[in-house]
Amino acid sequence: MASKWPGVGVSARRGPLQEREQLAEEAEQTAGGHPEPSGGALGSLCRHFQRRLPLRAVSRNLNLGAGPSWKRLENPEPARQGLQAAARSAKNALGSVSQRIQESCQSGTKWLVGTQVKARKRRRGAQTGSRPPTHTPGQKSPRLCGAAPASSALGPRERPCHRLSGHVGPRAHPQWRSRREPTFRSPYSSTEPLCSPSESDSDPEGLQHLQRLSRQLDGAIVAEERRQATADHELSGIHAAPR
Amino acid sequence: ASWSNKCDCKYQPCHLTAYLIQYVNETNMSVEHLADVLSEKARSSSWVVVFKALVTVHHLMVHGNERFIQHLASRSSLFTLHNFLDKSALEGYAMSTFIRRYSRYLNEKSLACRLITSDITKARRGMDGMMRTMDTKQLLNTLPVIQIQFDALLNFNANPDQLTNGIIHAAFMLLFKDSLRLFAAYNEGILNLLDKYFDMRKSQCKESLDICTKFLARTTRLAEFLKVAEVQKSVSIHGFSAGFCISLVSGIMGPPLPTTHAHAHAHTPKLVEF
Repeated sequence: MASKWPGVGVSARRGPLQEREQLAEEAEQTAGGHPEPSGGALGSLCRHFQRRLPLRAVSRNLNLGAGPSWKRLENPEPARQGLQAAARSAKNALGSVSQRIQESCQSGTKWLVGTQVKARKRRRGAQTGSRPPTHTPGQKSPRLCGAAPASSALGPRERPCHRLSGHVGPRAHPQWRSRREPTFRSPYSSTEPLCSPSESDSDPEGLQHLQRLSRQLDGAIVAEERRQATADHELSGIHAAPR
Repeated sequence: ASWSNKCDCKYQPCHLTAYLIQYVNETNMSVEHLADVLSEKARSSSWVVVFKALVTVHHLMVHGNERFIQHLASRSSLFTLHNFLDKSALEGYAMSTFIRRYSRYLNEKSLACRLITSDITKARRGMDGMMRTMDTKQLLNTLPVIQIQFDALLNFNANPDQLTNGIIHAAFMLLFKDSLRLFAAYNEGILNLLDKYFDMRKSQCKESLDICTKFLARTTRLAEFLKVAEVQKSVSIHGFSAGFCISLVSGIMGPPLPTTHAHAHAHTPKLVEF
C-alpha cells in the first residue's frame, strides 16, 4: 500500500483553493446584507461593481447652489451613461450566467437531494435522539441558483426581468421566469423537505450505480493484482535460472 | 543493455523492466541514476526510443519500487516532450501525437503524487481506505488533483485502429490499468463527498457541486475509453467485464451506450503479456 511521503512538497494547487475559500468567507463577512451570487465569475463581478460604486458622504464644503440640484433621472449626464451601460451589461451577463448555473445546479441537485434523505435516515438510525438537520436544500437554493440578490440590490428602477429576457431570447424567457420564481420565495416559508415522503424511501439510482461501480472496480483491481503477482513470480524465476 | 530503436510488434516491456526493478530493489545504485538514464533516452529524436523510454518509466511507476516514483515526484520537471515530432518515419507523425499526450500524463501522474504525497493508484481502498476517510478539506483539495490526472489519462484518446504496434499497445495497457485504479479512487472520493455534502459550509458546497458535476462528465469519457479496451480484447481480468462497467457508468448519465460486438468480431485482437 502507498505510504505518505514526508518532505516531497506542499501542494502548489492547494494555495489557490485555500485562497479562494478565504476570499469567499471574507466576502461573506463583509457583504452583510448583500449575499454574493453563486460562481466565481459572478462573485468577482459583484465585488468589482461594489468597489466601483462606493457610497461617499457629501462634503459640507460643496457649493450646491440655492435651488434643488436634482436632475432628471431619465437624462443622466454623459459621464454617468458609460457607468450605467456597464452596469446594464454586467447585469445581462450575470443573468445569463446565473441561468446557466441554475440549469447545471438543478441537474446536479436533483441527484444530491436524495442523498440528504439517506444521510438523515442513517443519522436517525445511528443516534438515539433525533435532531433536525443543520441545512435544508431550500436554504441553499438562493445561493446556488441565481443572481437575484445581486440584481435586486440595484434599485427598483432597474428591471432585470425585461433586460435579461431580451438578452437571453424570448424562447428562454418563460422557462427562465418559472425557474427563477422559487428563488424569490423565502427559504424559511416551508419546513417541508424538497422530496416527498414516497421518494425518500429509496436511494437515488445514480448513487447506487456509483456504489456498485466501486465494488466492481475493487474486485477487478484485486484480481488483476493477483494475476500480476503470479506473472512477476514466474518472470523472476526465469531470470534467476542459471544459464 | 542496448536500447533497440526497432518497433517490434512483440514488444514486451516486462522483461526489461523486470531487470530494472531488480536493479532498483536489490542494488544500492540510486534511482536518481536510473531516472537520469531514462530521461536521457526520452530526449532522443526517434519516436521508438522515446516511446519505449516512456513506457518503461510508466511500468516502473506502476510495478516498481516506491522509491522510484517518489524520486520522480520530487523532480521539478519530468518530460518536456510537448513539442516532440519525429518526421523521419511514416508512423512518426501519428506516434508523436501519442508521445506528447503520454508524456503529459506521466508528468501529471508525477505531479499528483507530489501534491497528494502518495501514489493515489496504490492507496488503500474500501470503507477504511484513503479516499473514504478523508475529511472535507482534504477531499476538496485532493479530488481536483485526481480529476486533472484523470483528464490527462483520458486525453490519450486512442482509437482501436490506432493501436498498431506493440509499443503503443503497451502504453495503452498501462493506461488502462491506471484508469481502473484512478477512477476507483475518484469514485470513492465522490461517494465520501456526497456523504458529507449537507454538513458542509456554503462555500464548500459550491466547490463540491462543481467537483461532482465534473465527475459526471468524466464518467462519460471513461465509458468511451473502456469501449476501446473492450474492443481490443486484450483486457482479460478475471471477474471484470469492461462492458459491465460501461453499462454501469452510462447508467448514471443516461441510456446505455451502443454495444461494440460487431466491431469486436471484425477486429483481430492483440494480446500483450505482462
